[in-house]
This record gives sequence, C-alpha cells and structure tokens, in this order.
Amino acid sequence: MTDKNNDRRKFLQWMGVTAGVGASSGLMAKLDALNFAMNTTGKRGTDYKALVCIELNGGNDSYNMLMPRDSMNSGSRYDTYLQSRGGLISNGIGFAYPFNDMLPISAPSGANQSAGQYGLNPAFFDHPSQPGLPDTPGIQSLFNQQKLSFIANVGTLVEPITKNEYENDLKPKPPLVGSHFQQANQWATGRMEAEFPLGWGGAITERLIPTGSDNTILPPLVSLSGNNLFQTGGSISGGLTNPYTIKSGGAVPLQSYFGNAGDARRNALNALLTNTSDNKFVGSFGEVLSNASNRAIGINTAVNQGAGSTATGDGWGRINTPYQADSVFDPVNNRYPVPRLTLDGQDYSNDLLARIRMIARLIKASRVSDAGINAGRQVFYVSLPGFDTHDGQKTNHPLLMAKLSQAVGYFMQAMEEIGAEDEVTLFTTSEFARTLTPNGNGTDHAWGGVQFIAGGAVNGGRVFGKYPKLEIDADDDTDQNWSFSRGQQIPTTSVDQMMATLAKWMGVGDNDLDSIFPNLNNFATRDLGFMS
Amino acid sequence: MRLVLLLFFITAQAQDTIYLSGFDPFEAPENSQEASRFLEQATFGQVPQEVADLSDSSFKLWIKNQQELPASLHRRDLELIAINGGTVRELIRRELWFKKSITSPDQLRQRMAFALSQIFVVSDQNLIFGSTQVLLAEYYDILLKNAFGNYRDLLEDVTRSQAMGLYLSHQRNRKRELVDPVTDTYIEPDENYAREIMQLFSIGLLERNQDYSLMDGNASQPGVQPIPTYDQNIITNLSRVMTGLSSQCTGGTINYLGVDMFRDCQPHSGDVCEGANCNFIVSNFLFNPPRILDPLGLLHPDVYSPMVCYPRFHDTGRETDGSLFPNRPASPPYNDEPYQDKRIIGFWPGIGDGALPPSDMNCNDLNNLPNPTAAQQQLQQQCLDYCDDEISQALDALFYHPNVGPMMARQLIQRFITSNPSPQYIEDIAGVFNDNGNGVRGDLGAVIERILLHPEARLSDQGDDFGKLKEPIIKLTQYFRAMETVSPDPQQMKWRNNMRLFKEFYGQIPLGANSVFNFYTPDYQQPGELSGADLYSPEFQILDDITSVETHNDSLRVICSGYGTVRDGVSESNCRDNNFTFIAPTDRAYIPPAIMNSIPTDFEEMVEALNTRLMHGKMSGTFTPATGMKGILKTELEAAFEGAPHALKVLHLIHLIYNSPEFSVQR
Repeated sequence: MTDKNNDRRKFLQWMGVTAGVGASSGLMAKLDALNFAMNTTGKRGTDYKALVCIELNGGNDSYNMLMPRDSMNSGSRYDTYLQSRGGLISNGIGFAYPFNDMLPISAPSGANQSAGQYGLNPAFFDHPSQPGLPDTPGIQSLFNQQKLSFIANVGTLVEPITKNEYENDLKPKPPLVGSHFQQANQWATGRMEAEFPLGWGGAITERLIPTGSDNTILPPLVSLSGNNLFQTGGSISGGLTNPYTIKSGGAVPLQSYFGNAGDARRNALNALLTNTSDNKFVGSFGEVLSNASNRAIGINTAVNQGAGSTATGDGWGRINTPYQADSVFDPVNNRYPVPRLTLDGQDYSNDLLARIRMIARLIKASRVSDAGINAGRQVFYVSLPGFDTHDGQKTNHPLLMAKLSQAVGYFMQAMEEIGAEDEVTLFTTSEFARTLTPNGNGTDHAWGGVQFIAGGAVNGGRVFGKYPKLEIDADDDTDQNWSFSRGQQIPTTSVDQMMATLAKWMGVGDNDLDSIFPNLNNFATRDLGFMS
Repeated sequence: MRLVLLLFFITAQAQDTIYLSGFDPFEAPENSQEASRFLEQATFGQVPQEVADLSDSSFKLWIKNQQELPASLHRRDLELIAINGGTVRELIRRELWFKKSITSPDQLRQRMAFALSQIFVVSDQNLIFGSTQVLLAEYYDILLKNAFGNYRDLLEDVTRSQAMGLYLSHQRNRKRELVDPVTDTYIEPDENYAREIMQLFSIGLLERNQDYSLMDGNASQPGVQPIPTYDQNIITNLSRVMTGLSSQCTGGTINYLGVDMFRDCQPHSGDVCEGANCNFIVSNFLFNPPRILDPLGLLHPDVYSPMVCYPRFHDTGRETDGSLFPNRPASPPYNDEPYQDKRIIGFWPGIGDGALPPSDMNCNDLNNLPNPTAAQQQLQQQCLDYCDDEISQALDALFYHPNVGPMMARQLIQRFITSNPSPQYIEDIAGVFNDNGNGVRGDLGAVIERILLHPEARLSDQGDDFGKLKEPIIKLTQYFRAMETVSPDPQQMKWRNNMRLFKEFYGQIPLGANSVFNFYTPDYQQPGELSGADLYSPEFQILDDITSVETHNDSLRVICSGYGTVRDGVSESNCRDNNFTFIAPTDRAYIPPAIMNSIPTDFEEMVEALNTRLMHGKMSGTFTPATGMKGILKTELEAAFEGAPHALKVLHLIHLIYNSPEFSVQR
C-alpha cells in the first residue's frame, strides 16, 4: 500500500482498529466500546427529522447570491460591492447586479446576525404554477415567509483567524484553501485531516439511530447524486458504508432473469455475489451489487404503492404539489415528466428539481407506517454541479441560481403538503466562494461565502453570521473585515458552527458534537441560533 | 527454475541485480494463460489469436512492436465522417472511440491514451464542445501521439491545446490590466489552469518521496507533517505566465482536405497579416476562428491547432503602456515581491529560485502595425520568444520537480495493474521516469514498459489486496474482444447500440468525466472491507446502487445481441425465446455464429472455454466436488439448462460470468 496516510492511521488507531485486522466487522463494536452515546430519540415511530444537503459543486459565487442593497450612494455597501465586482454585469467584465435588478429583502437584527437591506440574485423569483394554484415560491418569497435564512461568510476554519495571523502563520489554517477537493472534503467531514474516511452526515446518523433499528428497506443515508464523502458513515450492522444511491425516477431493479432457467440463473448470481473470495476487491464488488439488487424492489414498492395509489403506482410516495403546469404525475407512463424551468423567456430542464422531488417522495413514504420504512432520522444528499465558473459565468451562474431557487421552492411546498415542513431542514454547501474581482469572463477560487438553510424549523427571514463589507484587501480587526487582493474573504463563521447547529437540531448531544467536529470548541458560539 | 527465480525476487536488491545483468525472467509468458492475463492488463481485451501469438513470443517484443506501430488517430476519421455528410456530435465521437479502442492494432497506445485522458482530463460534459467534437478528437490524438513519447512534450502539447484551453479556461487568458478607469476595475489572470496543471497534471499538492510516501515537514513532531508543494502565491504567479494564449491566425490560406481556408481569424476576409505580425493584431487574440465550414461541415484547423502567444495580452511584467508593473502591497497572495517578476516553483538550475524576470523590452508599441519594418519584425519575434520561453521555463520547472515521477507512476500503475502498488513498485517506476537508462527524463514509453514487466505486475496470486476493479468501459471492451464480436456496419462504428445513456449506466465515458478530477480519485477508498484495510479503490467510486445494477442489466442486451425474439424480421436481442434464430443486428456488435458454434456443448467444457476466453483460466473452484465459481455454475445451472438451445446456454453463462465478482476484478 502506498501513502499510509498518517491522519487515517490516527483515526483508525483512535477507533482502536489497525489496518487489516478485521476492521470491517470490528468497527462498530469498537464504536460501541468507546461509549458513543446512542440517542434514542431516533427510535422509529416516535418522531422524525431529516436533513437535506444540496451541494453546489465547484464553488458558488455566493456574493452574487446575497448582496448588500442599502443605497446607491457613493460609499454605500452597495457601492463597495459594485466597485469590487468590477462594475455592472451588463457591460464589460463586471459582475455586479444593478441595484434595481436585485430582489430586495430586509433582515432584522438579532444575536449573531447581520441586520440590513439586502438584494437577492434576480433568478430567485417565484415560478408560476397551475392556473388557480399558488405559485412555487422562489428564495425571495421563502425568506419573506420566514422559512429560509442565510449564513454569511461561512467557510473552513480551524479556529478564528485574522488576516495578520493568517499571513504570519500565527494560527493554524485549513490546509489547501482554494483547492476544490480538499475544501469540499473539509466541508463534508468537519475535519482538517486529508482522507478522513467518515462524513459528518454519516457520523451523526450512526449516533442517532439505535443499533438494530435500522430498517431493511431504505438505509438512513440516501443520495440522489452518487457516492459522496458527506454521507459515508458507520453502518448499523458494522463497518463503514456508502449511502444508498437512487435515481430521480426511483431505484433500479435487477432485470435479465426471465425465460431460460431464470430462477436458477438468479440463484447462481446470488451465490456468485456472496461467494467468499481470497481477494478483497472481488468480495467488495459482490457486496455492492448484492445489496443494490436486494433493495431496489422494496424501495420502489414503498414509494409507488399503497393507499392513494393509482392503478399504475405512485402511492405512498405521491406528491401532488405542482411546480408548473405539466408537473402532475403521468399515470399512463407511470412517471413524473421532466421538470421545466423558464428563465428570460428560455426553456430549460431542471434536473435538480427532478432529484429533489424523489427526496420529497422518499420522505413521504418514510413517514407512512404502512409503507414499512418508518424512518426516525434521515440524511439526504443531492448536488448541483457547474459552479466552477472560471469562464462563461454570466451565462451559467444565473441559470444555476434559477434551478436552485425553483427546486428549493418546490421542495418546501411539497413538505408543507405532506405536513413535514417542521421536521425537514434543507441546507446548501459549497467548497468556497469566488474572487470578487473578475478574470475576464469568470471568477476564481476564494474562501468564505454565503449559504442558506430552509425549513419550518428554521429561524427564518434572517442573515446569520457577519456579512462582510466586500472590500478588496481589507484588514480591519475591529470590524472583523479581512480579505485578500482579489476580494477573497477570510471566513468569520466556521463550517463546524453551521453543521453543529444542524446536527444539534437532529438530536446529537454535546459530547458527540465535540467528537464529530473536533474544532468546534475553538469557537465561542456553538449554536448559531438559526434553528428554532 | 522459474520458481527459484520468483523467490529470488523478494528483495529489491535481487531485482536490481537481475535487471542490471540484462536478464528478465518475466520477459516471456510461461503459457497462454499468462499471455492472456498480460493482454488483459495492457490492451482493451484479450483476443484469442493475439493470446496465441503472444504465447509464442515475449512480452518485451510485444511491447516493442506495439510502440513501433503507427498511431491510429481519431480526428481525421471524424472529419471524414463530416465530409461524408455525417453530423459530428459527441455520440459519433464516442462510437469512433469504441471502434478505435476495440479494433486498432496499436492497442497499448490506445490504452495508454485512455489512461492519460484520465490524468490530463478534458470533458465533453462541458457544453462548449457541442458542435466541435473534432477539437476533442484532436485532444485525444495529442495523447495518442505522446503516449510513448516524452512527458515534457505531452505537458507542452496539453498546455497549448485549444480543447484544454477551453476546458480549463486559459485560452484568451489575459494579463492583469486596468480595464475601467472610472470604477478602477482590473482584469486579473484566470487561475484555473495554473492550479490544475500543478495539482493534477504534474506535481500534486504535497511533497512526496520517490515511493509516493509523504515527506515529513517537521521531524520533531509526531507523525508526518505534510509539506505543500505550492501556495496561492505560486498559483497566482503561474496564472500570470499562462496568459496571452489564443488561436493562431497565421495569415494566408491553407488547403485542407481540398478546401481553401483563410487563416486570418477573420471570416473569409483575406490576408491582413503575415508572420509574427499576426500575433500583434489585437483582434486576432479575441477572435474565434470560423467553426463549422459549409458545405463540408469541417472544423477550421485554426480551431484545433496549438495555441500561440499574443504578447499584447501576455504578462511581460509590464503595464500596457510598457512601464514595469509596480510592486504590490505587502499582503498575500503577493507578499511584497516585485510584481514585475513571476515567482513559480523552481527546481532546476536555469530557474534558480523560480523567479521569472520581466521582459527587457516594451512589446506594446508593436501592436497593430500595418506594415512592420524588418527591424520591427525582429522586435516582434523577440517579444514572442520571451512569451514562449517563459511558458517553456514554467513547464520545465514542473517537469523537473521530483514529485512528477511518483505522481505519474502511481496513477499509471493504478490504471493498468493494481490500485495499491507497493512503495517499491512506485519507486521503481518513478526511477524509470527520472532516467530511462539513457539519461532521459520523462520517457513514457520506458515507463509503461517497466510498469507492465515489473515483477509486481507479472507475478500472479499476490494476495488479497492485489488488483483493481475493472473500469466499467474496459470490462465492456474486454467482452467485445474476448468473444470476437463483430460490428455490423462497414465502418465498424456500431458496438453498443446507444451511446446516449452510456454515462448514466456505466458512470464512465471517454472524455466525459464530471470534472477535471476524473471519474474517480486515485485516493478513493470503498467504505467497508477495503477502507478497513486502508486500501485504495478508485473505480469503486463510480460503482453504486445505480451503476452496479444498470451495467448488469445492460450487459444482457449487449451479450444477447442478435439472439432472441424475432419481431418484424428484427432480433430483439433478449435471449428470451427458446426457439430463436440468429439475425444479425444492424446497430450493435454480436457474437458471430461461427464463434458461437465453436464453444463446446458439454457444460463443463463450455464453462472452461469461456473461462479461457474471458478470465485467462483463473475461474475459481472445481466442478467436482462443487467448489468456488465453477461449482456454483455447475450446481445451479447444469440441470436447469437442460433442453435449452446451445447458444442460449452460452449467452446466459457469459452474462453470469460478466457480472461475477471474479470477472469484474483484474488481478
């Protein structure tokens, strides 16, 4: 083996497991032995909570998602934004939205908050629905309805750090600021170690779901965007595990076993997949295909059948909430049509909405006891790629914002429809924000940026954290306003604070928060207060 | 004799001794199984005749022959399709990739290019390549041409490639410049390429020893303290070097495939520049050459020929008015360095501390000269030379960094042989990268030869952590080749019937990664048994509950091609009907009846024949007593298959073998 990474080894030693010594079956036993507090609130049937993570892959230019909008006067915060972004987006190389194009919102004052007048990306508007039905709310409406709040200038941090401390190496810094993979991994794990194997979504799930109560139909970690580190966790049965991955149209069942010796061939496949091997790669492949093929039918049954189902399916997981005229379930083809999005008169598909719709359906089916899932705690993940806008940002970024806004608005409507709005919290992540100054037709990698959280349990309509002045090369300790030569902002709120606040809401106790987010104690505020 | 030698290989010194003596016991296959296993590692799949040929020859000779074969290039074929009236979208380029990868004689070169395409990633998932697939085919040709050449040339060609320039946005990248005095707005160099060429294409993030282990930045602290290879400052400075590159507009006309095309970057307007002066026409830098040329549907060569420098937009350390850049403020990422210098990583004698000085001359008054004098043309050439030299020096600085050997060694070994090469294996290959034996650094031909001939590649039965999950696409091409399937169309473009959903099913498509980080990372560890044993398993990253089942389901449609229910004279290729007749499909490859009929009818002999073709005879277990994979197949299927047509038995057996864990792993 190469690169026996020291951090990994430390982690494994911490777990009491050394490489190659029965780690697979021994891991959970070791976790138990280490007295990881098992919180019983996750016991199925008693209550339900779920997190939905939308990762904006590539580094969202989030200082064009939430902007200052105080006044157009010289010296105003908007004026600083206008200068730093290289002038108006409508001409030249600039990226600043015109004052009157931004969707206005107003944030009140409060603890850990930045009161003031803000503007939202113009793509955060409401989307028309079917005639006679309410529009699908955009991000602006969700904010105004107090169902959504922003967190300003959040980023990876080991501990609070000033510009002077950063430049002169006076305090530990997150490794490899500006690198996609390493920053995304720090977001996903709540840790600074390279190659840390456990995501914080996985880590909280293994603490919240009591041993033996994980149901056999749908695992608690579900991804609509493939394998990912955030959802890599300790399975209840033992060992690290990937999330269950599902398509926007549902699980993929095993086919091919009709006709000639169908049952025998299916039995043969089963035997081959579970056959013991003298090679770990061989065994691991068998495990993946075996698990996937065993689960698919049960999941599709849970989502598509049951009370209220049509002749062709779509029962326990049925969502009626329309987001657009053609959105209603199509019983003839037994599927939902591809969601559409209209932006500036152009028609686009919105794959994020299709994926998040399956999350909504799974949540609904998970809460109907007859469907057999009966989840207590779930963590969902979906990603929206395309945010690495070094190039073509003026075309691509507004479309991404529109897709995000429409998908989140639809999801919130769906949660309201099924009565789960107080029990499901959605949040965004993105590895970093982007340089305020342009590179010609795009922007480059920066650091701290803006995220949002949405849900009935969110203390909504607020801007948490410290919204920066968006100056270039700022260095003001009094005002905690620090940036570099292209407007890269030093974060003033850490990823750990944001994630720990969400994890606490899910029911993770203080001791567990400290072990999942080892740097959390470096920050004065453990709970940012955005969950009520 | 052989066994004794194998034992001898346990120590590294023993290896060195033998290599030094020029004797290599792994030079030739002992039997056809070893030949087949070798071809599984080195090609897109073992073909029976090639296995037989190699069994009588030597690995070394095979590699030599492969390296001498002319490259079977992709772009020209794609252009001919366009000339013949075809629409060249990404589906056609993918079909062409399958044709080339499955049928070309230069298998090792094609495999190497595919491996390189997963290190130097350009992707069609970026919408910019919609109608310009020829650009991507040209990029693949760059990888093919350099597959056994020098890494330094490859790095240069990749950097100058317009496909890469578009993908990582350093095409038309501009120096820092005040563009709006009113708002005091500066344009800044795009950092995308500067970052990724270091992180992914050359030196990586952290300082490495030659066996890829991390260097320790502080021995007094417990554990290994990693040392970053560069910081933001280096990225910013390298991004300044990577400025000024754009399409070349050499003036005059070029006759290409019978068509006269203007090369002035203006649409059909005739000559406006000549020689070096073309690089001083400001509008040439910004202009997109005409793309699709009617009526032939060809992409203009200026769209895919290497990018050239435009000194007006290249960072020469000077302002646009010609004065030297002032010093920057004392803050990161610039610190208080003189801004006219560019500080990049520096590891070789010519670079010294890695600071690239500003241009001696002001190049900016040479722009847009209608009729430059001979003296002015000479100055223009000097400005061009400054730019080209600077890029060249930056690439040299990366090339000579000691990390490159272990970085390339590890990733190429992972693509060809095993996910977890031993430190010694990596170090041996890095050693060949550093010096091919004749004092040449970066010889990729020597690198791949040693990767394939290394004892760790050639020894079989190496333990439970050896090998790799097959890349899904290579698993598929292996089937096509091992079963001697044939494509139905004269152009041999049709293999799998539908390229549209390929990525969704397989998680992989040539030049189609989700990002510059490839389909998977070299450091991915499948959670569970593999991560528990601290084993890397890149290909597992794209094996999930969707792709594992989709590829399984798809394999039946692939394998049963031409065999199944017949409807309206067309085979549904579903292996469903017990009374089918074979009807050759028109849209996908199939196993010809002659090959089908050559598979024995006896159950055990049938399994063994497929074992030989697909698994180089390494299927586990025995029929009697029923153990391992052979036992499972016999127990579950022999009786159940009674009465079924021969072809159906064969096809269903292939389907199970194809989806078995043993076939899915290369070891």
